[in-house]
Amino acid sequence: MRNQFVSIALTVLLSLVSLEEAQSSIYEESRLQKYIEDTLDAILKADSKALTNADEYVQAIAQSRCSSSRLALRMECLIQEAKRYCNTIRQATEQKDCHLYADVLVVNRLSEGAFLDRSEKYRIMSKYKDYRRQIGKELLYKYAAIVAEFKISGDIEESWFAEELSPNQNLAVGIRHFCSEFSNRNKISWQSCVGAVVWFIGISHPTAD
Amino acid sequence: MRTIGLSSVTAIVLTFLTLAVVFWSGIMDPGRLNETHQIAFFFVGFLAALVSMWFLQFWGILKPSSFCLTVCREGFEKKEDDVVLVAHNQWVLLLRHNEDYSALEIPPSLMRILYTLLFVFFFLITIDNRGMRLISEAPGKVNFETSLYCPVEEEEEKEEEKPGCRLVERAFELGLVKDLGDCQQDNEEGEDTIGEICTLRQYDEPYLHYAYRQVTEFFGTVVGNTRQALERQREHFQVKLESAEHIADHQLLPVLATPRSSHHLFTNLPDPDGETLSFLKKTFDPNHCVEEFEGLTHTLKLEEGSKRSASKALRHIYGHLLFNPKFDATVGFCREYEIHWNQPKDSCDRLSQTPALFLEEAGALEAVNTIIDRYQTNDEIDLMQESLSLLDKEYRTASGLDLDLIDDFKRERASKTVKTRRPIQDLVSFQCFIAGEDSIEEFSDHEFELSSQKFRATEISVPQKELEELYGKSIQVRLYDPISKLLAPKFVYSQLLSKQAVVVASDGAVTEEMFEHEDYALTRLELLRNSDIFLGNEWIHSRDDILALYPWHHHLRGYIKNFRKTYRTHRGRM
Repeated sequence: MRNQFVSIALTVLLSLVSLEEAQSSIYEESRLQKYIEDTLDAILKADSKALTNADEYVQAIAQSRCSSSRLALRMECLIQEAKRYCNTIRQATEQKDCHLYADVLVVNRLSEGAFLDRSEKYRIMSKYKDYRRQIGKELLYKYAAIVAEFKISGDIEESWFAEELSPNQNLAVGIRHFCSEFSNRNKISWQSCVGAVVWFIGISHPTAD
Repeated sequence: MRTIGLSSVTAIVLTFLTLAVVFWSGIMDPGRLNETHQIAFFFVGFLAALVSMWFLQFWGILKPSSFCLTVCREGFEKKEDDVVLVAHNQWVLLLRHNEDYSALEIPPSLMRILYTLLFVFFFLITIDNRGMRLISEAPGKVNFETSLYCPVEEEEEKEEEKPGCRLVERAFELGLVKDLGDCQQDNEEGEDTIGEICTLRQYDEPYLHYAYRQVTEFFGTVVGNTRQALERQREHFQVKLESAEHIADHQLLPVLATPRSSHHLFTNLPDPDGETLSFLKKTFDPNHCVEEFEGLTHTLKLEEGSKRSASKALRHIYGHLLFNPKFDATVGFCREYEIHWNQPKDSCDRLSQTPALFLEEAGALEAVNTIIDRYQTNDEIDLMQESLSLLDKEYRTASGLDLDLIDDFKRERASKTVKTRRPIQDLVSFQCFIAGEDSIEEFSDHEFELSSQKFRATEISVPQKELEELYGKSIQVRLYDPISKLLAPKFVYSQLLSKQAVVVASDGAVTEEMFEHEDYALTRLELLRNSDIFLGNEWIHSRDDILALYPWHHHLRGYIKNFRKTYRTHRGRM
């Protein structure tokens, strides 16, 4: 009887805890930082071939099946297609990582217009045969500029970081704060900034130190 | 007794001098000779040969000398014309006529070579590579034309093609479409397509025709000096003399960078910087507003419970709506706009009852009077111009002259492009933003007269309690609407003007539930581009986590551009 009571009490307690966690939004500060950290880890761990394949898939889908003038439709379509792509990966951890870096790929694709305006794209398309590759290069240059500003930015405060956190955790904290400040000053949204920084750091550096 | 001809002596002395100069100047330096262009060498040699030939011929150097130098011992037979130059011990150097041409001379062939070499060295010293280049460019710089030609119109640069417009332009050329639509090339506003008439000589104009025009213009000027023309000039001068003070002001005020508008906002909110800092900024950095508004962030970080939060938000929004250059061209110069803090709640009432006194107490009277005076000066100048035009018309009618065809044309053209002057109410404005006791927003207008000009002050009263309860980003969004309506009462912001996608059905709107998913968190934030916070979407106000990630720039841009478009229609600068 006593044991049953204890087990019921524990179950209720655990449910309450999980309920509280479930109620906390993914956009809440600590969860968001965790999300950024997981995304960065996913890109760092992933094979470059896997990243390239995923990138090409997203680009192809965005230009074909998911092309629409309506943002909501475009976004939903890309999410569905990205999920379908990642669900083909059998291993659970790799599948989870795929969803994370696919999120970055999709948001970068949707944010292309913020980094390259129409006249710039037109110039590239009229000048280069393989314009898609050149556009990719130009976007990397823009991402690099943001990362350089992140690196030298005076917006980063020492108090945000903690010794007990790992380098990637601290980096996630820095990215979240930096992109808040950056998007508040410039015409680039927070998620575009995060996508650009995370992608550039992920593909450029083998470690996050 | 040895005699030597003076020409030969001169040649020898010149040779020694030239050699001395050559060695001193270093023109025989192998490095320098190596750098000298072959053309320069050729030119030097050619010129030296030519000049030496001419020199020898003209000066008669090759002929026997008329005078000679003689060295002889003392006791020699001195002639009458002899000139003793130097006498030392028993030796005498004297100058005498070379009567029998027996003096020793350098052979003519050697003299030629000597002088040619002298000129070669002379030209080598004076002409180097740079001198050679200047000589070669000289013919191009010589202009024998006395006529001044009209400048040739440069070909317009081919304007940058807009993306995707080639097909439309081709269809337009073929007559398949009536206009270019979005592909129309932008012209600069107010660009005058008719250029100035050039009265100089046209490139294809025959000289005789140009000469005829010059002659007729000359006689026209001469005719202008007749009595009638003098009378006309006297009357012109009289009119201008009467308006001399206004003319002086009209010329001087722009030079002194006098303000061209004066807009004042009175509020009972406290100064966001504090009075001391505000005073220091005004004193030591009067142009701080330019930098301040250029670097505005999309949102402000406001402290909860701070008494100055509402003031900071007001100034931030004021700056965004009018002066932030990121989204659109600014509507004016920020120094001509002033927010008067800590004013009484009945500011607009006091302004309408005793405007001069109230403005003087607020420190705004001088600025307002400057604009009113300047506006009145412009009125006087316009009256003066009209009087002058009437005089000109009378003169032309009386004299029967038809010299002013071009003037008429210019005047007609100018009248099409002259912008109508803005009324004084566009240049001077007054608003009151009051944190009031009432529980609802209230708008009111107050009319008054100042310096014979009629003005209207707009007032809005926002509930004080509401301002105190709101902090963070919510207050900023909340205040955009009342402030924009205060500054531009006709401004209306709707879904059609917004960057938010137009949705017909309610299920097309962005809702809170769409952000409940745990996956693709970054991508789902893109939906906020379809959720304009300035059009309601109240659920966002209650979500601080979403507000922190909101794409302010996306929706602020549309709001500010449309606001400024409305604002410019009834506010501006002289």
